[in-house]
Amino acid sequence: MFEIVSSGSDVIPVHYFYGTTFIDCESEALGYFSKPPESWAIIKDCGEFPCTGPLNFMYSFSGNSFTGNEPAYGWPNLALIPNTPDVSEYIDGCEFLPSGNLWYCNQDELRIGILTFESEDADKLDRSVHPVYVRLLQSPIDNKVNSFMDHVWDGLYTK
Amino acid sequence: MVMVDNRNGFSANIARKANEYDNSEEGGNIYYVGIKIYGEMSNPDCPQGGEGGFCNKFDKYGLDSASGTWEGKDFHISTTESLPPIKVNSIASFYTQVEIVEMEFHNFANQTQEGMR
Repeated sequence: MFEIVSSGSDVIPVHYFYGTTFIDCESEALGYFSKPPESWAIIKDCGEFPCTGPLNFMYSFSGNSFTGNEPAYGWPNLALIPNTPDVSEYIDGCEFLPSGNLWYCNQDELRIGILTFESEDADKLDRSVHPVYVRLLQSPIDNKVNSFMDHVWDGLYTK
Repeated sequence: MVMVDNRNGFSANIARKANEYDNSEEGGNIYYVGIKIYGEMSNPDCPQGGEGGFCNKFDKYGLDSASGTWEGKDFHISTTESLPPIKVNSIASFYTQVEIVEMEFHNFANQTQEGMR
């Protein structure tokens, strides 16, 4: 069912679904979340490692209903998140779907969100700060985040 | 809208221009309402076991992620532009909101008839 845009190097917006209906959909039919390609790891694009937009987004569902099949993700409140190293595996209520390279999460009790932050430096479009490690204290969560891809000239963005 | 048996999923894209930080409805957000998306039809992608003149084995998706960009090229270019026209040449917007209301997904199987995703 679901994929992510292949050029979404920097930010893929959170998609909020309300009242979604799944009719005769099977358990492994959720789709595939592609990994950031290694070809992005060049100086004129993302620098030493691929940009991390595809690793930091989510599809968030509220009020799902299911008809016909009862798939493994058959929860009223569901989240689909990417397979983010050192993050996804530590989020409670999530199950990994290897064929889809994604995690599906029960959000009945725990709601998942995306923390967004931005440099306010005047030269944020001329200078790079990366990697940025976002860590959750007293947990193993340790998210390595890149700056934006440079879409025009050689050089990197702090943004 | 109704989508049936797509190779790439349906999505919407928007350029927020000067409104990157505008979080209002007028600022350029994306809403889908009442869209139905169907999985594969019974028509084969490889007729007659691949002997039918064509055989297309694709991964198939119903929904692709939406995107919002800041500035960049217009989606409907009216002047001479460098190729490829599909390359927006801009950075993503932090502030694009995407809300999807009462979407239906029908008949998505674990694999396509040709064994793809």
